[in-house]
Amino acid sequence: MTMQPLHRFMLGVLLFFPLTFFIWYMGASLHLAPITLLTGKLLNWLTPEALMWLKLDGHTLVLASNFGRDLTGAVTSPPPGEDVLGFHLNPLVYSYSLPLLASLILATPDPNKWGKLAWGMAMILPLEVFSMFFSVLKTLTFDVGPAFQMQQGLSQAGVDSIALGYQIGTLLLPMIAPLIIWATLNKNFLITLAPHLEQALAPKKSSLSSFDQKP
Amino acid sequence: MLRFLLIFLLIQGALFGVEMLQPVQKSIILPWTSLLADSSSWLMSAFDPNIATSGKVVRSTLNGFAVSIEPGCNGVEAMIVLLAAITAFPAPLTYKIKGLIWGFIAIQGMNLLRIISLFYLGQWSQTLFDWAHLYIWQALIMLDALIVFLIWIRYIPGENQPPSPPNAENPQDHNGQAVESIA
Repeated sequence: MTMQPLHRFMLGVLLFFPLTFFIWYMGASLHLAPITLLTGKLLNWLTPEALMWLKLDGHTLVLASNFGRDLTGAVTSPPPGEDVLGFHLNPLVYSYSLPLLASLILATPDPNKWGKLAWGMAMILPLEVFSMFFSVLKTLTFDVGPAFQMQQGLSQAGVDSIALGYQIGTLLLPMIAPLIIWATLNKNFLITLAPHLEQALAPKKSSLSSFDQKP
Repeated sequence: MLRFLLIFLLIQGALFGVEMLQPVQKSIILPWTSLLADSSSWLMSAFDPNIATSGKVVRSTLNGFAVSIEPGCNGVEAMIVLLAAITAFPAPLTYKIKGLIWGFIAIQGMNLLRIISLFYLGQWSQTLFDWAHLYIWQALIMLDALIVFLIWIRYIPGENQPPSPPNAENPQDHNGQAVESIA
């Protein structure tokens, strides 16, 4: 008995979903390392005086700012003593797009699924950097607060932009990025599901799904 | 495909922008979220008498545990993604409306399941609640939207085909197997 492509795909997603999430969680310190490294470099380049360091502690992102409290309790930069304002962030809240994308790609019938998985990971990496970048900026803007905003000369529009970037990076991108990347990498599968829509999905290749045109 | 993606992103950006506006939040999103809380509470009260709601908060009268349904947990974002995808995809208007109605039912049905499961999971284990809330259900709701979209595109008539569902006159798909109907 052969299954319809869509049923097979749905069953595959159900099977791969728990597996990819398990691997993603257990290997968090590995797949988050390049994201943390790139985000740290980007932040050090853009706001060198605001960030001391950005490190991973397991799957927790530890942010040490270049701010501290003086004897009156006011936030200053550089910090007056050795105590700096530090924050623990959870990067997994925007990184779950990774196992979702992996389960979609692995469930799609394709001889080159491992190649596509590598492409998918590469495509999602800059989006994760975007999410982490704005997550750190949002922490500095709202948790360190006015001291950071004054140091960077942030206007109200700048503060709003950081809040918007955080919303996009944390709420929207993790949800839609895996679907868009998967659809982009698997146009042929979409045509297999709906061969009559070949023109809409791949207008330049008029004879892509030859099986559909046999008498 | 590129045209579809661009229109999809454009519609999505516009709708998410509108969703974030305070008047929209106040007049649509918050009442909708409260309705979700009431609906999930009504469903749970069928088998659990210790449920109370107040606005967007569902609470257990037995142990005081409560969940507050916040933006991102009301299924609106997933509906926006599906709406943008269906609107951007070339299809007759009636098919788009049917797709949106079925998508609404599928996403909000799944979302009610999410709220109810999280409510009981939270009373059992905070760790499992966090896991399910922050990662698993977010992904499952988007999967739900994707599956609805994939089923929907199978029912759209092609350029050289009359607008009828695949099983209306031709009860077999291209693999020679029976296909299900969503309309």
